[in-house]
Amino acid sequence: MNFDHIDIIQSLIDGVLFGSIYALIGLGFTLIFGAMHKLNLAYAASGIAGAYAGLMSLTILGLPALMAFFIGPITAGIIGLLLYFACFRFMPRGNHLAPLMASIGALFFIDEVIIHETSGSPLSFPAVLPDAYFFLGEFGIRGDLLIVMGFSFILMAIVMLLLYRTKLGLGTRATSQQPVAALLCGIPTHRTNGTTFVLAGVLGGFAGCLLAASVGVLSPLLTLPLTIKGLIVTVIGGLGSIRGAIIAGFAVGAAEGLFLLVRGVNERDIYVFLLLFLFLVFRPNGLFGTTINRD
Amino acid sequence: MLSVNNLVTSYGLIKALKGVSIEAKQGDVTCILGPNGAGKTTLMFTLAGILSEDAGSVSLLGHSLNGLGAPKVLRQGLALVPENRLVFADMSVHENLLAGAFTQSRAMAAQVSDDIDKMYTRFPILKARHDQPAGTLSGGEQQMLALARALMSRPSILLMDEPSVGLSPLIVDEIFAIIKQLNEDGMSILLVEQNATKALQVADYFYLLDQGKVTFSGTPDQLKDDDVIKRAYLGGS
Repeated sequence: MNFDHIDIIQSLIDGVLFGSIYALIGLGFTLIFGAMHKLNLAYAASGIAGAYAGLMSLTILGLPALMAFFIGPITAGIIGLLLYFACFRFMPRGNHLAPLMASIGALFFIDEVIIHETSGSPLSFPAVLPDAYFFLGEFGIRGDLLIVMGFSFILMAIVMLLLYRTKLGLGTRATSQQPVAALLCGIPTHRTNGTTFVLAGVLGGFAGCLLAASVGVLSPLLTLPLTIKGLIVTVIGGLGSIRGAIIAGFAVGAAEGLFLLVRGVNERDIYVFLLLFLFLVFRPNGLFGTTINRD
Repeated sequence: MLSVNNLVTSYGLIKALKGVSIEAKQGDVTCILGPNGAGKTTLMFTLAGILSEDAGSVSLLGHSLNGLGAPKVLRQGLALVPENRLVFADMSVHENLLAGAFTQSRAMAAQVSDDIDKMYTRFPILKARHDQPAGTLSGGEQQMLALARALMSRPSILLMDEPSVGLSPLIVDEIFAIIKQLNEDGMSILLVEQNATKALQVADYFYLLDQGKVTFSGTPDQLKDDDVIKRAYLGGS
């Protein structure tokens, strides 16, 4: 093993910067899980689909590159709402398997549509500041990843403001804790859940665009790894914990950077997935998960 | 004021309410007694719009509540304090009260603020705990919070589902004193209770619900004179 502490710290920096995308995806999974106590496995795919829509707006309509970051999240938000209606809204309340299976079906449906439309070929996605590279002492920092991280922080701050400083957020948090009591307070829980899916979808769309911009390509092969990484982040952070999802996103990014350095790109994901098993066995509630008794 | 006629509610093939008819008069405390499984909570949830009725009618001050759904029923003036309180455990006491005022528009922010002050005056312990997560309150405090939260919607009638359940005798006394005070302040109350002795201290009229049907209705004196009820609910022989 031919690396020193500089390499290790550099890998951690790169991993944490990239982890902000995982934090966004984990935050979206968490918002949906928090609202309905159900997993939407088509969530990351909807983010990637949004990124494709953003890319199409550039290639077909000839819009400026930045518009991808506007069209992509909006499209992903709309897909989020469609997923809510198709996979969750009308499913029997007591049947937890039905929405899970429906969302797996939606994941493959979205994947197939993307493959059909692109013939499965990766497409170039415009990078944000592709040539920017900064030095911090002995460490190098990719400018595009720095922007991705800054943008992710802004989005997280907006979500936190929405959740903790608005009436919508009050309704969302109340619905997630006690849906029956929320109804008794006059909170339209179905509308609140639908709004949560849109909000999470928008976050996923941003994450999809940021991921594509940072790796430079958009490919249907991104949906499954992003789904699994999102789930890992959600479980490690603690199902339903917003703070946990954000911290776990950066932690998983850092671990991924470290595994990449130590074991190489071929084995990196094996160790990341191993983290999931370790948490499920030794700390199933994740870093910040709590058991919430709902009616 | 609240008129319920031949209400039928089912869970699948099982009929939980089999044609319930009750009347709650304005300014009264109307109490529904009944054993476990009698359909009391089903009745409360149907009246509040959480469950849909199969048949029958519900009206409040002449307005039909049938098929409205919980948020619209609340807007019509019927609020329910559910059994086991169901406070929003991770939210602060203050946020729970704000959630209770969810149906109030932004233009009424000053009124909501006034109402919260009134709740803090009526329930001083809630003021002392205003920034504490509701899940950390004692059972009695949570019951007061659930009651205050329901009052935040400014209801015409307040439904209370077994407010004494799981509370110590001292706290039950306190809760019933609050119910009495609320009624004296003009609030109409429909109370579901198994503790008939306590209910007798506050109620103006009683119904007995058993296996989804009303099997008795009468004044507190008539209730006390009924041998079956006396044996079952008042510890008489």
